[in-house]
Amino acid sequence: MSPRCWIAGLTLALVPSFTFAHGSSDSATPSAADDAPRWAIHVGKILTCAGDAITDGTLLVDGGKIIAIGRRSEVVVPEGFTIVDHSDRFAMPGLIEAHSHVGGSGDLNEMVYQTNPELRNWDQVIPGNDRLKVALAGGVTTICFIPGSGTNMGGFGAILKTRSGTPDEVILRAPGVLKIAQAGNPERRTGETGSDRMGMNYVIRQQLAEGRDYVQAWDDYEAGKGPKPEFNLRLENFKPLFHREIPVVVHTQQYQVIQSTVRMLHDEMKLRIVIDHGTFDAYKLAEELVARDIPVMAGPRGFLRDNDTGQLVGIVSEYDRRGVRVLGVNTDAPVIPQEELFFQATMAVRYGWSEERAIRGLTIEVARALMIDDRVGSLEVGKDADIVITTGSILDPRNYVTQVFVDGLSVYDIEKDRRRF
Amino acid sequence: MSSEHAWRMALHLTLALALAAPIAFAQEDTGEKKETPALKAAPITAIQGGDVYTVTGEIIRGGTVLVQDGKILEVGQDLVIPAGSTIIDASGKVVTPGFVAISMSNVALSAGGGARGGRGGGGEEEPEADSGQLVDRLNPFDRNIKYSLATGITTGCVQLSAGGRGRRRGRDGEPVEVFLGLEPDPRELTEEELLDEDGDGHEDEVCQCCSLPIIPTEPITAAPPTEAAPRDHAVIKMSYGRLDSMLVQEDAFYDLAPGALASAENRHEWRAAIRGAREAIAKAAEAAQAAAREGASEGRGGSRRGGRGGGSGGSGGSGEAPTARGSRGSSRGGGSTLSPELRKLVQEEIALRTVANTVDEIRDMIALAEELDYELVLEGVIEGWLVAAELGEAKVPVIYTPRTRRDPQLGQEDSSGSSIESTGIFEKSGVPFAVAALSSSISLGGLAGRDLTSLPLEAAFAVRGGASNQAALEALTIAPARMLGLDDRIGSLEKGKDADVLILNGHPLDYRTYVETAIVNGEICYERAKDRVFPVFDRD
Repeated sequence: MSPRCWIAGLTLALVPSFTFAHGSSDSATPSAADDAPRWAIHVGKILTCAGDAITDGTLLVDGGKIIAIGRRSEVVVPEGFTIVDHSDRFAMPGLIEAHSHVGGSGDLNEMVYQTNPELRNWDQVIPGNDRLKVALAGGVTTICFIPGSGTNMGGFGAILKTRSGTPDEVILRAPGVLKIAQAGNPERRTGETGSDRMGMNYVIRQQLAEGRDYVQAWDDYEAGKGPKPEFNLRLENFKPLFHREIPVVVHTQQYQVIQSTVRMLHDEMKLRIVIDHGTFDAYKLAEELVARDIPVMAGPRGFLRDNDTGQLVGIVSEYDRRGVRVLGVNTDAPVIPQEELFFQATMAVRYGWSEERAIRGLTIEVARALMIDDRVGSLEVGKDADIVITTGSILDPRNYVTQVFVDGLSVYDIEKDRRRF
Repeated sequence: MSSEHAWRMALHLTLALALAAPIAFAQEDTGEKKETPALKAAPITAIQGGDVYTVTGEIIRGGTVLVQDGKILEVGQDLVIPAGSTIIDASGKVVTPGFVAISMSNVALSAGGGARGGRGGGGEEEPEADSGQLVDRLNPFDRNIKYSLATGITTGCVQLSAGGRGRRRGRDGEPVEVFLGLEPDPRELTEEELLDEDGDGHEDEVCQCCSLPIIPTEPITAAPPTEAAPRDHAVIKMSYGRLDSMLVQEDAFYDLAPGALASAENRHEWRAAIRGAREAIAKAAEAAQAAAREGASEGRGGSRRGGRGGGSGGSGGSGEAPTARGSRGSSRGGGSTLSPELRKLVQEEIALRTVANTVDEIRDMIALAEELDYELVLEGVIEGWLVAAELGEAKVPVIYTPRTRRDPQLGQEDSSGSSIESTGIFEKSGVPFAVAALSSSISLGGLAGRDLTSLPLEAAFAVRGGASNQAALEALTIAPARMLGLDDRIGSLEKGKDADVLILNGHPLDYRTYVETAIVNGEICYERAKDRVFPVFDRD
């Protein structure tokens, strides 16, 4: 978005914000509105991830949302807002993790059937658990919490905020994504179809076809074009998937495996997909991904050694060079600690990525890949007030996070909490 | 100071030791070259125009470093560059001393063998503890040297034997689970095995899903008592392609496994071993004096390190004690046999290096070192931030990995576990620290920023923890050099020191910075554009 756009957004937002602030506090939900903090946060530099950075900016937060953002001289702070002065600091949108296993208990691999569309992990969520507390201190405010890759289809995962609260408060979307794992980890299963890559592709294709037919039958029924199908709990979560309301995050890496991901899941099954490892030499297929607008959230491995030259190749920068734009990093936490999400981008920049794209690759591009960019990923009016305050560019490990807001709540503040990271 | 003389003596002794055994080899190949080099005739190299971070002195903007005969001839701002010097233009660049990796493994050594290793096993196949064994293992063409140089490491304290830590999965015959076809190079597996190099004695945890190693976060406990089985280290220069200048010092530390001093019995044996060593040395000194009366006399430099509490200096003359070979593993029995390392330890030529993580372990190690009077270097020190004042008081330097994160014990949130602010607390408390990367070896498995090649980035995390840029830079250079007692040779850019110099394209702690040129002993051993280790590109 261009600077003009946010100024326009700002003017639009400021006017209703007064009425909102007045109106909401004494009507529908009085207690919640009274408690909802209203912040005016002055920041030295705001990395909006929606256009240019704002120097000497101010963010207004009310009701858990950003209601204004702009130059400090241009944003009028209404009465009743608590002023937070970070004028020597940076602000950026909360970081978003595309591939995490630390959102709750470790029950992530059922390992009985080869495909498990019946499984969902949002009953396993433990909001604000110890790992997420540290993650907040690394600026991570949203994670895609997914089942493991022990089987070809581990189940449906949830997208959640890292703050504490009830499951209903922190879960942003459930079902959030479907987890499919191709090659590698599920190969450990032996003695049945699906123990090698040919069998695996069959197993996944067969299961998706079953799901597609089930969803189609219900769609036909609801359109008055068919009989009422029998309810099948096992296949219910396929509905948002085949309606393309949620994506599949695919554990896939290496050239050969990504070929089958693209052809089977995208071309044939017409699913929204996210390449969620994309490591080793998979970047060589980047042109095909660009042609299909397929996002890549690369990691946890960040480099490859070119076997011909012995030289190390930065994986993210290779995708970038080939034109992949919805591009980010992941930690596969706990493989890389969740709080080190930024450091995955740090290393990608070290290996040749651009800093500006790296900041976007920690925020808005992940949000786009996960289809949650209407809520999070940038600092814009109307979006969730997930704001990270740092001592400088988050990419430099010497800088650190000093305060984090999630849903407008101050959930980490080194003035009050012991520094966790 | 007379220290210069002392180090020259020490150097010659070290070289003599190193070259004594493979003497046939050395004489045949380099005999003539080894003759005292003609100082005046040696060509001069001038590294000119860069911002020179001397580490021990000021930052010299647009400075010059003159190098001759492998040593630093002069460092300064407006130096006259002698005619005929080779000029290396470093304008717009940053010039620093080469980094010293205090924890390093699987670099510069040829594979296999395990010479001098595996001492725990009673020694049936154990080779003589000969300097020759080590020299024969050195591999100046190891590609890992290039990776190290690309990281800025010019000197490493390289682990030679596995020691008794019992946390290398491969050793116990339990292979790392891998997926054929996914791991491009089976060699990485042995390297990744070592990823848990935090020295805490815990088994590695491996991700159930992807078999990548997971950095542990659970609360720490004291290490259980174990056998002593000291680990060997040698100080090795990353002088790629140049064998004769690789070995700096053969015994870097007396390194004991965590838990080796953990039980009353272990400590009893340790006291006996130290006492026995002192007695043996005293006896040898008496014998030497008797011999001296008959003519021959030889002086040996005393303590080479600064020393806790002022250094107890010349703790004995020749000290060429009865160094019974091949019995190093059982040396702790005391008395009759004395290992070279133990002798060096009680003579304060090397320090005891051991892992101490909990507050109790740290305090115990400090107390024991003070009681028995030897130099101590502590590794791990996860709870060191809680007793930083005591560490500072005792002048015990530490080896620390700033990204160490261990949860506190339940109910002791403010008095246990790790702290991201440890490095800042260490600096304020006067505790010198060297930085160790999360792994001591080079891993090409693809996880970026977790192996030895992330050493300067780990130092950047020290700044995150509150240390100054200066302290973090010292943690890569002069601090480890001091721990090794080699600060007269390496760790800073000063006249007379080894010409181990880096030319960087940015600040040494900036994550975007790459080593452009690495010079070891005055020779260019790495050039970024030519060696093509890391991606080569220009950042706009």
